[in-house]
Amino acid sequence: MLSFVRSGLREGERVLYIAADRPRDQVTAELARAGGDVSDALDAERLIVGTSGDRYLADGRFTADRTIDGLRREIEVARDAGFDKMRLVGEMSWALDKGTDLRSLIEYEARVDGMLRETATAALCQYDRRLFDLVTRRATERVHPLVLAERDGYGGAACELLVERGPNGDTILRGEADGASSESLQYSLRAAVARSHDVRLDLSDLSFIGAASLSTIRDAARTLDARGGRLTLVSPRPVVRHVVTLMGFPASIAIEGVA
Amino acid sequence: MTAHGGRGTLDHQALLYGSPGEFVSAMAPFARTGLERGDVVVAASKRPNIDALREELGMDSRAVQLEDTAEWMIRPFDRLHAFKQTVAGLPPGRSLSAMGEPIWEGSAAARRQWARYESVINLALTDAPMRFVCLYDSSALPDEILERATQTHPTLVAPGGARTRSPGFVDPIDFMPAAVVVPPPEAVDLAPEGTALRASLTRYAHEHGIDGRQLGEIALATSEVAANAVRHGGGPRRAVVWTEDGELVCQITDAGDGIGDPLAGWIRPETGSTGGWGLPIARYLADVVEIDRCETGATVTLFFTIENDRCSSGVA
Repeated sequence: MLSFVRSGLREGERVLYIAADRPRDQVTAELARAGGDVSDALDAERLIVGTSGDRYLADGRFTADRTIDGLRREIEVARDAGFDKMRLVGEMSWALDKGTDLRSLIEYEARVDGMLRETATAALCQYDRRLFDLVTRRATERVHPLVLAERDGYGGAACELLVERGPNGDTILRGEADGASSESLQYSLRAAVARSHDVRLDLSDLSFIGAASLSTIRDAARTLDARGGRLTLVSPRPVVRHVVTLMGFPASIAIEGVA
Repeated sequence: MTAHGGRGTLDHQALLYGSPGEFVSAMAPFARTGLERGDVVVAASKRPNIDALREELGMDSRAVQLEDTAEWMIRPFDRLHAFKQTVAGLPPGRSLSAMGEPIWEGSAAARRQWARYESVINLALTDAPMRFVCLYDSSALPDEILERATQTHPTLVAPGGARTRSPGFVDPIDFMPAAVVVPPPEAVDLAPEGTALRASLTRYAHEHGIDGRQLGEIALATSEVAANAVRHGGGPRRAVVWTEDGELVCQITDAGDGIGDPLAGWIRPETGSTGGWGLPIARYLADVVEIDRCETGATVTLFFTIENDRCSSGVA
């Protein structure tokens, strides 16, 4: 999550962090602890903190239309303040309270996508997988084209694994992919496999990958291989190249550049 | 009939020989018989034995895969898989005639691992259509290793060719109860799992000049063992690291009932399998993996020979 925030700040975007379940001051303090760059951004209002109460549930009820309108206004305000682009991070656990209909949430997620594209806004919606049931998670994942990052809880700390789509279409893995993140990696790779004939997986920013995640990548490689496609691993570490020979990756995989 | 012509049975024998001459007088006929039957024939032994066998077999030696045991599949995990692969690739109805000599020159832990490999062969290749003669140089090896040979092979074969059932054969389940590897006093405690484990391990490795590819291997193998402790062992209780005789040693202790299966980690999961890779990866990457039992749970100890090759360091 923090790498998502930081990359927005680096790009000169305004970042809005919408927290659930905790007061704004507490979230601001959590974020400020992440480092000088983040606390400076908070001071300069390049990073702003909102809560689910004021952003999603203005009069105690959630409606997709009003939330999308609200975000659109927020983006306009940012433009007026000199930010060409905005980046949103939302904690989604508020949707479990207040009698919110999860179907309206999924509808919202599907519709907000158009608005985000139109305004070139990047958004990261954080679903705590301990709280949301699988059906809701799968449904919301289907309507998120770009980013799936996951850990148990938000925790205010950096995500173990961030999966992003790069400008050239590469799927980029950042952080650490251990057993805990293999499920979200699975969904992301499935989406990448569904999207294109060949998949390029950039591992240059991945500091660690464990067996469970390697199995997931191998399964994607086999799916691609079965339909005549190919998986390319970009800049894997030497240990990954070595283990790939043990784990039954298809012969069609390509490896480019060794980190 | 299936493509493989039905199940075979492993015939696992130990030959105790006293000289290259004795080796050849026993193994040249074994190789020839195999060739006549249409078997795939493989021999991995010490260089003088291989040279003598090549000479004795003459033209026939071209049909035999001859390997110097000191250079071919020098880790028992790799060697077991080389044999398994050869068996899997046999033409229908054919068998494998193999001769294999373990490598006894390594550390005490490495020697225990080779002995375990010999015992595990009985389970891992039990259905293989394979005549497998393991070679023991009785002129050079200590009694302890020769005695273990009788415990790990159901059949003993004399240089003259006489076969006897090994009276001392031990069921692989009961073979060689684990000698618990006790960390020395200077061993350093690591965080027990996850990112923190890798961070503390990396710090220790850097202090000992280990980086690059080898650090990646140590981190992956150790993480997988710790992850197993979380999944199956009631959580890791302790992770420690130390260096000893040119090796870096990591030990993970969990709170479970211990790992009773002697095959644990020796068998590669099916190609498409998602789970079960942790211990095989550890065996693949570490020089030695010892699985012990202590009062509190299972203890897995990983030994890595520290590489001082400059080429391998500095590569992130």
